[in-house]
Amino acid sequence: MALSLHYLKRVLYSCSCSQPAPLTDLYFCRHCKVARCQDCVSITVDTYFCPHCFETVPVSEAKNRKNRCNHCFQCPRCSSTLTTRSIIVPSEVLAEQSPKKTESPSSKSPSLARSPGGTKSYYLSCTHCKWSTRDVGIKDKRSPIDFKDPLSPHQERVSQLVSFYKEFSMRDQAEREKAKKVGRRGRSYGGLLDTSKFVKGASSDSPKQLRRASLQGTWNKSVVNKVATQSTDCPDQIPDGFYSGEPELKKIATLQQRLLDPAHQPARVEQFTPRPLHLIGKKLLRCKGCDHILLKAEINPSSIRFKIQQIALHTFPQIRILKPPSLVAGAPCEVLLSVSNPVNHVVSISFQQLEPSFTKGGKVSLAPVSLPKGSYQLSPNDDMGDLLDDSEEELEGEKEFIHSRLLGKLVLKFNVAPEEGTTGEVKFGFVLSFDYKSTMELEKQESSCIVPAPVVVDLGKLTHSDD
Amino acid sequence: MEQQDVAYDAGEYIETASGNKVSRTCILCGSKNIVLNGKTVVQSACIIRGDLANINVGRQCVIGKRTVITPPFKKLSHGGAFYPLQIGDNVIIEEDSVINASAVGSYVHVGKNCVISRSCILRDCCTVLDNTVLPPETVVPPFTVFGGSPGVMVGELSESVQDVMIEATRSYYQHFKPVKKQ
Repeated sequence: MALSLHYLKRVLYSCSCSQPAPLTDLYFCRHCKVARCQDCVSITVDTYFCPHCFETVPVSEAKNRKNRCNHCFQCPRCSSTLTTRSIIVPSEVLAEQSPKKTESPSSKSPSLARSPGGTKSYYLSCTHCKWSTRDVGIKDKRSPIDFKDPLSPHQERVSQLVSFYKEFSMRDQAEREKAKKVGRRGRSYGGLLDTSKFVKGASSDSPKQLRRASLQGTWNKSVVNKVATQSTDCPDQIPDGFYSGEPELKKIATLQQRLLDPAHQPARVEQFTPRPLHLIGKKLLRCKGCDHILLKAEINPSSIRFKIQQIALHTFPQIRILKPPSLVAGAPCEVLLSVSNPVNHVVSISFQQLEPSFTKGGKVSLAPVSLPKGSYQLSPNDDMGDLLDDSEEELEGEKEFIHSRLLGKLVLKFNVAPEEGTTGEVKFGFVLSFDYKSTMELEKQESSCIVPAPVVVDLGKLTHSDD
Repeated sequence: MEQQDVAYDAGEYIETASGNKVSRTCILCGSKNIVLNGKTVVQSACIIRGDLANINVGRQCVIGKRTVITPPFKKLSHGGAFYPLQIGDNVIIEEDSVINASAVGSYVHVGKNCVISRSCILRDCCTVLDNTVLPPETVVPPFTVFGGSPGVMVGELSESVQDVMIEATRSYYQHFKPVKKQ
């Protein structure tokens, strides 16, 4: 199925940072009056939500949750979402199980689960690869929210280090204040770790002085030793047959599976645990030039509406290739481009040649083109337009270059001469200038401003004709 | 590029009063349970299982050749049941895909040769790439791209996807033109 949306990347508009991008990926700042690409906007996360259960998590809380959902899990084997399955455990079985805590719930037969009267218990199962928490001996839970991400083995060490450095920083701060009071020249070495120091002003102490100070410092060595890394004489033993034994490829986790859980990095499939699902964010985009908001979505995660939406598609006239042209090297070829008006008032457009600096010193080879001369007016793109009789209205434009005129659209003729020896795609460029009127300006009857938009059109490969 | 004309044999398609164009080679089971809300193109050799449950397709959708649309099945303690399937507006489902989702939102693009398994939920403004197999009960959130087998999130969509999908479906319908055979 040849759809128009497969060809969106054929026409690239240039952002204010001269990065080419399809019009659909650009934003328009109505204060700076320039197009902004993904690199020219500052992105902040407005709110987080789970992509499976759509639970909204505020930014402050997301950090505590390690940016993961508490209820939804990912399969450690195939990365798809796990589903919660429930079974009814008869009360007799529960009574039998309670004294013998070591018994695995996986030994329960399905026939027992179906018997009436009992408690529900839950396990997680993958609908794609059929992995389940029972495969790795994780006991069934009484509630679906009882599944928790196991603590990282390095958790204790990391928290120890964090508390040590917090204490370090506090002690250092106190020492510096004390030194300031006493009026001593020597400064504390610990300030090296304090980033606030760099904000206040650069220190006059050289690294050598600081090192000397650290040796003579008042910091108790026993406290440092508590968190210092200890070397061991005997490294971890490699299991027997690690090199000589035949590898069980079905039991060894792939690299992707290991990296899905960076804290544990399970080497074997028996060590797999369900991974909490990553939260995704609703973005808030701001213009880097003026800091005005370009895009703000509604808080509801399933909503596709925006409170503020300044995308280039709503402002810039959209250029499309009408039909694939036949391109012959060395001969001028007529290329038909359609220019659509996105707004419901008349827009004037004109075309200029690209500046030579745009081609980045000949890195981008563009075919020479003769552009339509003069300015053209695009009729309003109004849904009710076809009901109105606008035959009397004469729109500006040189008829020589106009192929056809449709509602809110104008088809223009361009003459492109692909150069001999072009091997790749034939591209040509121009600057499209249009008059931009913001709705606020329309109310005040102010004059519009001209916005230039450099455009590069990719026409595809040469049509080979040897005759 | 502008949408190119797609010619079809005038005798092959039936056009309804609301502008739906449905191929005669389609198998519409239980046609009274199938609602096409207008300007929807259902291409040749599609199978729509309206006999199992109601299927409601929104406005200006394109359903590609050899696509199978079946309502979702759910196992219950006593047997099972089929639930109605709702497909939103301006949806494109390309060729050879199998849709067994419980809901498909508006402005959704499903690529070629995809399997949307039982009880999947495709929210508004999302894309499923070609040759994707979505596992059962997958939820595809708005403005995301899913791909691969099993289908996982592989990217994000730009915020202008709604306008792009409206334009794509509208122009496809406008350029879907009958050609009379001699």
